[in-house]
Amino acid sequence: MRHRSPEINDLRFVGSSIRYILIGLSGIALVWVLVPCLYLCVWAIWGTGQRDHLGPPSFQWFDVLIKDSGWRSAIGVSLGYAILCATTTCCLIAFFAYSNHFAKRWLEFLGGCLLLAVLLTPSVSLALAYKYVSGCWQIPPDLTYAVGNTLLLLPVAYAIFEAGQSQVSRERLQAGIVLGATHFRNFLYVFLPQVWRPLLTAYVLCFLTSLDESVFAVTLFDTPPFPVTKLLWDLSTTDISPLPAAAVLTLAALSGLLFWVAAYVFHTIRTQIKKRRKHATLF
Amino acid sequence: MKLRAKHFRRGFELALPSFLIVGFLLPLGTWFTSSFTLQFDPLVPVLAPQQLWITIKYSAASTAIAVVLGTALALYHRFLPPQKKVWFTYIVTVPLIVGFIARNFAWLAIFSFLEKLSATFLGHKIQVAYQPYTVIVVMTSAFIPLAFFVVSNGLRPLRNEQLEAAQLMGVPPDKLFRAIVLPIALRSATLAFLLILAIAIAYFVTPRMIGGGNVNFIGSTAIKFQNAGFPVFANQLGITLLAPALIVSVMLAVLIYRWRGRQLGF
Repeated sequence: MRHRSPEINDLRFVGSSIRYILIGLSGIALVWVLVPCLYLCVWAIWGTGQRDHLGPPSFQWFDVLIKDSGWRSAIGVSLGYAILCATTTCCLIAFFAYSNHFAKRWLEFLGGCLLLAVLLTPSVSLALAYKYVSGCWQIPPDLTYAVGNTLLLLPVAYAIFEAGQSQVSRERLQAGIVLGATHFRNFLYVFLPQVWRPLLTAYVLCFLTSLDESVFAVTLFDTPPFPVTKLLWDLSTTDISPLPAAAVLTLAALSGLLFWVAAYVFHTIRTQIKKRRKHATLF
Repeated sequence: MKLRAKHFRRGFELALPSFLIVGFLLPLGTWFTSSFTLQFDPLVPVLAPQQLWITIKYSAASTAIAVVLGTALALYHRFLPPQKKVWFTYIVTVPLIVGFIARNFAWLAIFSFLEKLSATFLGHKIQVAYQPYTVIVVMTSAFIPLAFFVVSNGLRPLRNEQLEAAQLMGVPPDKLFRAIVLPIALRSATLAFLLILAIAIAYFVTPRMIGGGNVNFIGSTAIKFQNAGFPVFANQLGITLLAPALIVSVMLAVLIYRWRGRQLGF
């Protein structure tokens, strides 16, 4: 293995004046980014009915949230859409990335250009277009929301997935086809094991981005059940209680729990498969 | 080189492009063409340029600050040891977990708290909430993680071997930073600026929640009119919003094309 100089990963390498500037600016940036996130936690627990007043710690706002059927259904709807849209996005991107190894170049180019166009088109304009089209063609808002949300997630997933594409061995993919595997089996047993890490990262990020989607929620939904973002938007000019903070923390906690359960199930299945393989090799 | 293209079953590779054509081009095209068949609202030519200028001014200011801070953060991250790098990335990802509208609520609460503090310690209340500059503060906070991720990704071509070679040849650290690290960082920072600007132009949550009616972005006005039952006016404002996005997109495409061309040796 090639020796790497330890100084390269050390900030002392860049010289004292630049080092202090970088440390100072990074500190400002971190504070700027983290202060509202930390304040949300403080506000949810110590918050009172007045925005500028903190009281003794309590979980009263979480209690109010759990008892309110509107909030409960909104949290469920948000989680449902997030699972659906993140799964669809990751499947589409994985199919696209796999087929890029085989399909014609212009299709790859077309897909890339369309993804860039989605990213650069103002989401407000896109949401207004969806509202117009759903009204004209009598498409239910649930479907338009799911499609629109997936559309906004695609460039995010593609960017993450592309970064991990270097891990894919073309030789293995070719070997799979030469040995007679169908494309579906090649995708499942050769391609996916090589890309599961970027795919998982893309899934997590898409899930979180989907929970945060607001423009389609605000534009498309007129009647409940709403996602959480629509409820938060409706409260944005009227409510001054820490209920939004409690709602967002509950949603984050539930998402964390979901991921923990999924990771546990995944780990158990993987261990079982490994055990079976080991058993098959022994006998 | 493509693998066995002739044996590839048609249809599999068409999933994403067809989804994008049906889900993106078709609704956008229908909406765009139908908006021109309706009578143009006389208020749009009066309101749109004014609001477009406000949108671009505030978006560009917050994007520029976010890119400067995000670049500094990415450079700091680049020179950290591997274990610390992972933790640093986790910390910058925290805002994504919290959510954007919720962070706006938190900022409002922080501003109210600051007003109360100023009244207590200075004797008079300093108005912080619902001020135009606070829109820049909040939008910058939202864009810093994005800028960080784009610039971090752009710093990948910066190899340890390059830095080692320069170091061995006796280049002083400050010059080495200016000559090798900064050009690569600036290139990705420019990309980050255009990319974030394209996203910032469409922002509508912060101008309404934090600006409180003092800063009207074209997107927030369009959403307001759509929800108030004036879809024609909202749609025409939405189409106006496509113009600056198109300009930024063309600039971005030219930039990417030129850099790719240089990489390929044209």
